Amino acid sequence: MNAEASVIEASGLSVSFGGTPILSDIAFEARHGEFLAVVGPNGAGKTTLLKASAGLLESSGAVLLGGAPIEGLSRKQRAQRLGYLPQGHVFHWPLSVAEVVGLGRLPRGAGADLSEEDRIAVARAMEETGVSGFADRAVTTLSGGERARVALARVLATEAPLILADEPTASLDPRYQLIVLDILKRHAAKGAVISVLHDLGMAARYADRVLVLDEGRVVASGPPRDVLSEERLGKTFGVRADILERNGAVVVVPRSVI
Amino acid sequence: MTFAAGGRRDGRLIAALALLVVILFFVSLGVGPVWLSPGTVARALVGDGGEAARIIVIDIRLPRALLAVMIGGTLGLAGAALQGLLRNPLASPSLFGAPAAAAFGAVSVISLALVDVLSIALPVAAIIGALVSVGLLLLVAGPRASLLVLILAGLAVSSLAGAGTALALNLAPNPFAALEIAFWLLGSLEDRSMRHVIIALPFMAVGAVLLIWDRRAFRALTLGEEAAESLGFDLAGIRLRVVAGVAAAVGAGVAVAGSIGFVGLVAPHLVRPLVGHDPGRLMVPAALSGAALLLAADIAVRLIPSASEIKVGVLTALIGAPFFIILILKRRGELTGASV
Repeated sequence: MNAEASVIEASGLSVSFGGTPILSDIAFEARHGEFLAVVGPNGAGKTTLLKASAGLLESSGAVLLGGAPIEGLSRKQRAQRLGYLPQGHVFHWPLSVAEVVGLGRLPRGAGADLSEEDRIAVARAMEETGVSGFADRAVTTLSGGERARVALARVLATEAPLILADEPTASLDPRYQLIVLDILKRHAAKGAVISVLHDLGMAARYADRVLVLDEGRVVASGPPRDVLSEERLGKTFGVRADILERNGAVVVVPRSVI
Repeated sequence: MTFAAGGRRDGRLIAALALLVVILFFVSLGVGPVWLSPGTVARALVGDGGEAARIIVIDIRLPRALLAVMIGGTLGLAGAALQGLLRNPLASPSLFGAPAAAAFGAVSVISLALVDVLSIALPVAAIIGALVSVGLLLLVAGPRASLLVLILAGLAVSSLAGAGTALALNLAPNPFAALEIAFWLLGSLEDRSMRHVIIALPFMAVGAVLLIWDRRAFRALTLGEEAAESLGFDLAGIRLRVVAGVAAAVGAGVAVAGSIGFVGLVAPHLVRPLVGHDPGRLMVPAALSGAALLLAADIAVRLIPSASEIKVGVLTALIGAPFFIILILKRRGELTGASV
């Protein structure tokens, strides 16, 4: 796939629940190699945007996955092209870590028994996320940071080029936030990642481009240094922030409420 | 790193459970007012031996044992499927009022004297009753219902079906009919014929296929509904198949044997640790465990000394309800927590 190829492209994407518009006329694109951060205040429609992009919600408008309209793809084809990491890292049954990561192989046709190819993909995903050391432990006994990485490993095991992650760093300590975002950044180099992030500093540090949502509309989009301006943060988030440059990267530090 | 060597290990578990079912099946053919040796049972089954032994084994005890396997097996499947779909080990057909609603469906057609008790209309009415109850429950509870909401909705559905059944009893044309309905409701495999087996079989077969169909999805559902959907599963279709499967299995069972509760709750529990809590690998072992449980319970009612035989539905409830209380105690934290 060439570097300019679009992994996902949405235009005119709109979602409404019971007549109330949640998303209106959204357009965005993630090209091969890109990490796109979706930021916005609570209730801006970030999760809805991810779900609609994944085809998990009824929406109008167009979503193209690798150039193909999403509605023309079977559920299985979609699942092979995009991995969705929901908020919260919930596991309902005490399956082992290896078994949970193996669930990522379901779109590839795996059952309870994994093929050699499945095992390699699972082992690689566990290696990348550093969870191999507790592969046999029940997921329900893990700490928050361990669960987050197992959930991520499950998505990586799918080997889908695109990952849609909904607040993958929520409720993680700073070390695990960096670990999780590093993993996503590495994946983005091989495909693309769209991640909802609450931490603007992390968005500035990791994202190639930032999409700012407010009340269901895209109010800004572009590289972090263009988008995360004092004026934009004031308008959209209602905060004053210090925007600093350090080692060529933008650093965003919210200071006070407007 | 070890992966669950699912296939081989499950193969052994399934073989062991199947053997247990076969043994209990033969015991069930031998035990009763007249005790028959395994040799006599085997000869009777192939048409040899005395006339009396043949009648006892083939006409009286074989339908009973077959129904125990069929009803226990499908109840085990129904429980495992509901628990997989709802991602909760406390889910079961009886808690959700399905048997009560099926009984109401069946009792209505009996008390209205629309059909005799050996008609195909009986399972159909029972299945419609179960279908309405499970469908109503999922509708009331919504797709992301907490267990508490589901149990409360199940309680409401059960109460409504119970009231309907009570009304049918109340309006029964004569005391004899009322008594017959009341006894039938207790749940029993006594005095059943091959005709009962034949009536229930097609519905149970369809129900079993529907329930086992989505076993891969039940595994994915361990990650929650959205993640499962993103892995390529059609949740609306799965819900529909589970509802229809539970209704067919429970409805057909209730139609031929009355209300037999708690097998659907207990059977999956007994084997869940043996399959590493994997809701997909649980299905076949849960079915076999259900069959073994009901066979054992139906043997036990013949062994317990009492003036008149204890109904098997009464025994499963007597054992199942305390089991349920123990489960609640184990999960009390979760049930009182904010997540419920």
